[in-house]
Amino acid sequence: MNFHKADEFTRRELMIKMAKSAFGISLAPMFGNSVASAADFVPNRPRAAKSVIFLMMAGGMSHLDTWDVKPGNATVMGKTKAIDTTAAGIQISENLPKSAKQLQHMVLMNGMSTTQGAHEQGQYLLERSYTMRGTIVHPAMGSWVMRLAGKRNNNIPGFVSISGDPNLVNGGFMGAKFAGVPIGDPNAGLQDSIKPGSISEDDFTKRLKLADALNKQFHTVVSSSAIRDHEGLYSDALRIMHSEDLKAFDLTKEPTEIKEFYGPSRFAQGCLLARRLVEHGVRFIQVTHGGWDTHYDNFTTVPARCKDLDDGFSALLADLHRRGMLEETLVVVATEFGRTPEIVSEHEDGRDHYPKAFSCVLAGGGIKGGRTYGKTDASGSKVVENLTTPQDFNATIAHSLGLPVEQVVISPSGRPFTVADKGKAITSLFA
Amino acid sequence: MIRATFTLLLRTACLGTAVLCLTGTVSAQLAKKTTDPDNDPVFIKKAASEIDRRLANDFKKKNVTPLPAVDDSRWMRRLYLDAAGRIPTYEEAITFLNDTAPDKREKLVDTLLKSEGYTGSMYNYYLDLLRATSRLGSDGTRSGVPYLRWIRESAASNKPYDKLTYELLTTEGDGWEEGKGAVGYFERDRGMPLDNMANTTRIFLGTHIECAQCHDHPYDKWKQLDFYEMSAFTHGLETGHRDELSKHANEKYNGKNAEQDRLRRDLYRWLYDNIYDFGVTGGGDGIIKLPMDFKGKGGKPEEAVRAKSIYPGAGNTRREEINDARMKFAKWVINPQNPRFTLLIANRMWKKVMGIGLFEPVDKFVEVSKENPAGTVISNPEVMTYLEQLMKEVNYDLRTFQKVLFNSRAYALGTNPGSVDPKMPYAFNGRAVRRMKAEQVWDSMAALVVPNIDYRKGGSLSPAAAVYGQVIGQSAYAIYEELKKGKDPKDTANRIREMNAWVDKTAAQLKSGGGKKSDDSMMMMESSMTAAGDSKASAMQDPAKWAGYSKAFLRSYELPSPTPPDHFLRKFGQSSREVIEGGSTDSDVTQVLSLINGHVEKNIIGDSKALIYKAINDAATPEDKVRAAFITILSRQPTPAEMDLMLPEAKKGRDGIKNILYALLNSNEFIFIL
Repeated sequence: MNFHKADEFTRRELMIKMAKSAFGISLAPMFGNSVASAADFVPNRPRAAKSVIFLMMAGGMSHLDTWDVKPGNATVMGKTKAIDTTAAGIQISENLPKSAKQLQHMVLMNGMSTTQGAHEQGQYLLERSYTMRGTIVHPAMGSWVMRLAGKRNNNIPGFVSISGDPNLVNGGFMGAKFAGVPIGDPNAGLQDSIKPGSISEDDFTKRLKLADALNKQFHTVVSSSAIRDHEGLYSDALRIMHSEDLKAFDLTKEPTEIKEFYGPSRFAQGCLLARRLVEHGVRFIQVTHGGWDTHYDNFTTVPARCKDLDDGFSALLADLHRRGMLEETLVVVATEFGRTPEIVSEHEDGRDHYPKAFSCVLAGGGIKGGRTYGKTDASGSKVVENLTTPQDFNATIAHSLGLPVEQVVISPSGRPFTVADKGKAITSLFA
Repeated sequence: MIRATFTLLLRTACLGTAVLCLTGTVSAQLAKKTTDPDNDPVFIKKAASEIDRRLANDFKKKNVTPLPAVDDSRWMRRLYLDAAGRIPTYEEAITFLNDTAPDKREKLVDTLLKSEGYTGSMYNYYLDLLRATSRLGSDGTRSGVPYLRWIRESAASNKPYDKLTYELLTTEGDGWEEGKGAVGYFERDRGMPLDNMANTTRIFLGTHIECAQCHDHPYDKWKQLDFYEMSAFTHGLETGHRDELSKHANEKYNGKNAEQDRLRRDLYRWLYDNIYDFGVTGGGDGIIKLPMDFKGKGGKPEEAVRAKSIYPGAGNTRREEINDARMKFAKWVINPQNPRFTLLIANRMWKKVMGIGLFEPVDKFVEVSKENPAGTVISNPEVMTYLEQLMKEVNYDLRTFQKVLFNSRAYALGTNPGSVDPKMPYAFNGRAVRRMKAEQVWDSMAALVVPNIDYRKGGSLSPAAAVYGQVIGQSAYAIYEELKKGKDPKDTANRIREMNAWVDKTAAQLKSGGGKKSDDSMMMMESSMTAAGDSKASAMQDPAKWAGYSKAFLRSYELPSPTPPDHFLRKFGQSSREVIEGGSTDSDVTQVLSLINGHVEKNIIGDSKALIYKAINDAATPEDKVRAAFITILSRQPTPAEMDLMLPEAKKGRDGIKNILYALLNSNEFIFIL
């Protein structure tokens, strides 16, 4: 294992050296990168997770129709039925049959509760641990992870967001270098990472050489740190382009049977891409799955959304487990709030926003699965046991990675912040 | 050496303007207030000299040497970027460089400050400052266009900044009414009145009191009570309209005519979100209840407190004055005696022109207090004092104010060769190098492709109406006009009758296939435009002179605010307009990937019709082609060494030319402003 990694590293270095000589431009500092590398980071607990795959169910996933079923209470359940799972005594919705077979890896967080009942504010609190203010933008969870733990692989981005709104994953006051790198379509890979066919290899090299010669002259006029940083990014860009790890972004490298195992939807393919990225050392990957805002026609829309979630999530857990990666990869299913137990018949049986109680899921990353944590009452309308705030939830994610949950980071405006605000990690979830 | 440069400059200026030299000799005497300073060259010259005089004193005091003034090329490029938001075209550059008139710089300042590019750049500036967006609401369901339109009109008419501020803070009424778009200032923050006041305080007073919303400020003197006393000024105003129209928008449609009902409901919803639900009523109560969990000094939870300004001057003391608190507040904010208002905008404009503020950050000025013993340092208090005076003298006319700065010798000083930390007081003995803002990169590139780009219209200020991906053949503004038809907008019953009629008519039209498909040209603003070349993105009613040019290329001020998250502008740091002046000029790797593999090659160099090729195609010899390329992209002639470097490529023909253009566009000198 170690042997293989060392070998890969050497090859990577060789590629960089080749790129360097081919392009004739300075790639120094060789690994000079604005984000700290993994070598500097020591997790504060043994067997900490190394990466996070954060599956974001945007729009407000109905807890009653997914993870927190109330069999026997037809008033709140409507058309949704419960099924058994691999964990004794735990039932989930029939909308998630494949996930039911992976429940041994999961903790169902059925006591989630938030103060925010609007999408933007709810997603903001969930992803950033702070309530939205018009005066500052708090960093996204992935930015915090990058800031506190650094990159695992300096050749490629450490925080990637698939199919989501880049606003959800911006670095806030930490700035662009801690922002998630957006991937629109998982099948399209990293934007502009491949040399366009209209430029020949020779011309590409020639052009960069010419630019480099112009820059050398420019440095005699002015040479600021911002200019040097900018120029350094050309090395980073070439490193990405010529990195062995670029193939991490390329789903065509995946065997057909694996692609099919994950399922056809964009979300499921995003899950597959996330697994590839974890294999290549990306620290935090967010895959967004929208369309959960089921004010209208809940019992048609939710099953359709669940199909994609069920395909992607169950395949991801099975695949990570089979590859021995699940222990070091925390997989999260999260949403900004739940939906009302009341079914609004005037809206073709819809459900409205419900921040008071909802469900998320944690799996892998040292989590002891086959359990639930937190509980709602018989109608799913009130948390009656182990109420978990978004801040607690994020503290738990941070704990999984062995991050210092209480470490203060001062914003440029001089205000102190921590990764999970005042959230408390639920350490009892871990084996 | 420095003295010689200054003398030379003066002498050059004297060739054609002897009178100016007589009266414009460096003098301690302050420029006199005139009725029309904008058109008074004597006033401009005097004011500019006064700034230079005060800076020169400071150089002497600090024992720093001003850097030698820049040549015409570099000065011109600076000015185009700072005043018009983009680099000059080849034609513009050549015209200026070949001009032998001694007052050509003054003339160029005048021309650019009256250009469409200037209006658009000021519009962008206000969008950043005010966080103004095309779409409003947590899901972007509501239209913010009337606000943007009002901002654009204010920029175009060069509305004085105090008047603009007053209108923002006091406008009441229906936002789609002529001249009422300023209600967007409160609509922007609907449901968040406390955040709105925190932003107001920061924008116009340079004071951060947002911490005091929840507790007494830990690092400043502000108390939680101060925050609520300020918030009382705007408390009680109502945004939007709530009446029976909203019921139609939630109509059920499971009856016999389900499909038609659904269409009608969605039309109502569109109408409600995009036209009807945008307005402000109420003049501000001047009184507010402290929150239940109030824990600051000087007040009790749920106690009612009266409005009081954090700096002395405004308050609501008498009960009968209720409902005029906003007006009182606004009058106090813009009063020349207000200790912050003039200071803030004078420093902001200084930063806009000179690159760095006399104090930074420009929205935070902290007085010395026991909580903050250091306070804000002004790098040059004499200049700051004069700028405040000047701002008052020009009656808050920001164009004239900038004209003075552009005409100063300080603006023409050389580029500081090293890093300048914007957080440290700066002597302004030269310009600090800066990366172009996202808008400047995009707009400069757009100008390399499309001729007369400044005037090409998008549709961001007259968006199409669209339901089910079908557009209704009218812009939202046209629909508003149709619904109103000269009737009193306050006559709600009549409005609802009109809207019912419109919905029925439009529903019938859409049902019979009268709507156009969404990829029609009118849809541009509703579609997500990812990059130039996206076929869905199209300019509205593009006149024939732009036929064949990619419709994705529009000036940034013709695009939605902000552009979609994956747009080139956002990649290069355009503000998401969530926070005040939230743009960034930080570089990152996705930008570089776009420069080396994406936008530059695919949409500029790859477009054989692009303007970038024109001067090069017109040039006869390879040497002239290299010169044309340098002027087109870097606004200057190549050095002999650069000519040697590029000549072999120019001799290769088309592919070699492409190599030159690509290298120039990827050079530091393109993206960094000297």
